[in-house]
Amino acid sequence: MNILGWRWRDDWLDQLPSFLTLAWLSPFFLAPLAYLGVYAFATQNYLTGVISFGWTLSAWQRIANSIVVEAFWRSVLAAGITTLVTALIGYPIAYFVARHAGRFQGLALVLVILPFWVSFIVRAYAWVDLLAEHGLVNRLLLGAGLISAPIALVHNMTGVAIGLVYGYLPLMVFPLYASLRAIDPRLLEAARDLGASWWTAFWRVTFPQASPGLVAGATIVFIPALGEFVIPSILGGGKIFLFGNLIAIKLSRFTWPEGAALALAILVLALVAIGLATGILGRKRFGEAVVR
Amino acid sequence: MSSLYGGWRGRFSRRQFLAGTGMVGLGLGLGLGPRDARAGSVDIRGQTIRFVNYTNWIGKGEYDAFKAATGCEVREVPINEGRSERVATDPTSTDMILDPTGSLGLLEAASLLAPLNLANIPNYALIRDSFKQDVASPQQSKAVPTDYGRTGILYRTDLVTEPMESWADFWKAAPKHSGKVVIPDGPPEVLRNTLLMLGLNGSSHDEAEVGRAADAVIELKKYVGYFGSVDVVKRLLEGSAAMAHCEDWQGSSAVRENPTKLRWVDPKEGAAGYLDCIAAINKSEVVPAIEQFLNFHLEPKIAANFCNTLSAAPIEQASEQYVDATIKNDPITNPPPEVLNRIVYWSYLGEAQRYWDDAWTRVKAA
Repeated sequence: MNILGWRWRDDWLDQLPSFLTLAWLSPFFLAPLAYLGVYAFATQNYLTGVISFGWTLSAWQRIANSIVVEAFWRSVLAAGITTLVTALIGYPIAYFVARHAGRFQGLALVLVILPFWVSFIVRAYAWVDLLAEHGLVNRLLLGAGLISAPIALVHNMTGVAIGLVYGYLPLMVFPLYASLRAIDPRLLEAARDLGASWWTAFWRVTFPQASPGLVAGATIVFIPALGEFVIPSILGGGKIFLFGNLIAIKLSRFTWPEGAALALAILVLALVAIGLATGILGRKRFGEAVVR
Repeated sequence: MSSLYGGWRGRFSRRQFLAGTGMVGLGLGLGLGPRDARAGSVDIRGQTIRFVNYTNWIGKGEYDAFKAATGCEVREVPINEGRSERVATDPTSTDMILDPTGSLGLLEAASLLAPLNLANIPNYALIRDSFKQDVASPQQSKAVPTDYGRTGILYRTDLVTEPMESWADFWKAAPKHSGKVVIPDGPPEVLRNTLLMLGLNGSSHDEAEVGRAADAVIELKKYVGYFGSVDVVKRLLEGSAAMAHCEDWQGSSAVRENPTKLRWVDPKEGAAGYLDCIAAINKSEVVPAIEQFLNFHLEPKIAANFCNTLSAAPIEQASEQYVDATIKNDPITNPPPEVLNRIVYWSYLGEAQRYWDDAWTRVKAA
């Protein structure tokens, strides 16, 4: 199925499954979004919580301040670093699994996805213990003589970055793996036969061929990381304030329209990111990389 | 709103703590069997009270005992976060709510609390006068107090050698213990205590004063290692924290765990506290049944069972004889009058709530 690369065809029967899928998804996906849009332009009594629906910009005016801007750029930075690091770690993993894991390929993929079988909150708290001053990581580093005193790995931006990379790594590995796996090995053989070094063959053949996977992975890591709030809440020790935390605060008070406006703003920015990604690759290739 | 940051986190953790240490109360084996709990003459058999409460924040077996006594069922609707806010947006979904006075004020402002006929709750007279305040005062008679708690300072005496008797001392010592300072993630406690440290009204409605408090917390934030209430005692015991702004139950369990290294301080400026109360919602059709439940709850043995189950201090003198000695004699859980008098209970802020919320957002974003 190729949703993002969809084009109208004369044979409507071909498109029937897509229509049915859209009809099924609409109530669960589009309706909440529409609800969000309506709330973003409503007002709410701060004391009683009573919502007055209407088309006002008051929520948007209230979120136009430096706290929102700073939280946004902090989130962009965190999501950007996460995307970069997951790509740097995820690429070799995906490459190894696609090219060298042989009959253990299935097992390797299961190992990548294995952490998803445990609740994310449980895993985040496990990281708090692992990274704590007296946690396993510090003890190992001390034991190995790499540090002379425990270092602060949690309840700061380092902890948040580790949590984000850990949490989103599989989302980078899978599209990359799919792209790398789809490359015809004979192309590499041909390159090597023509005298290309391993690096040249990788850079001129493998990397361009796998770039849709990289862009798709980067997109599906960057977008949710931009709105992340669980990881900074737990691994940031309540001190790291990202855009998602701001939305959570707004929705936990009688400021739902402001929360909805913030959520809508980040959604629009996510759509811009997808637009850029599709612009880089072309709609069809991007769609194929995402749904492959 | 503010209740999201308030005592629930602490009490949620306290329940986990209680479960972990097995310190549950003695239950209804104390002779709390069926009895005539009906203070009024209304027959409430077959009725059901929908009770929005913290999960299991009730004496062991109390609902069953009440049903056995009256034939009326109390069906708990556990909501650990934003109870009053949830009820305010859907007031027909519940009959009775337990929340601190500061949150119940929201429901009172929205004219959602039912007036209670205190003649139907004669055991209300057993409650100490100091707890009959705000919506729980005889004048307002919109709620009945159930329990209370306060904040304070807990610190490692071997790590923090500076004087530590006040919030000002806490602020002064923080730079030296940078990264090992813990404060809760909640404006009702932190901003109120900061206001008290600054010599201001702990329930200030003045935007500039609240702003000054936020500035002081932002200054302190540089040295804070952790903003929250999870594992505070563990952090202090293992030494990853040296000093904490926390709740009394945490202080009590910590000092019991290590009385030589840990010390609890009731700051001389006073401290933020909460007063939990039960109130009836005026959309409810079972207010007479709620009054009977409240009277039942305030029976000395029942009230003591509540304290013993939750390790809470008694709010009525008549129940003290039934309260476990470990609770009754613990000056942190059950403080002397001079400490009680310095507690600044969380009160409803009305329009000023926005100043507090904005100030706290500024603290968090700094």
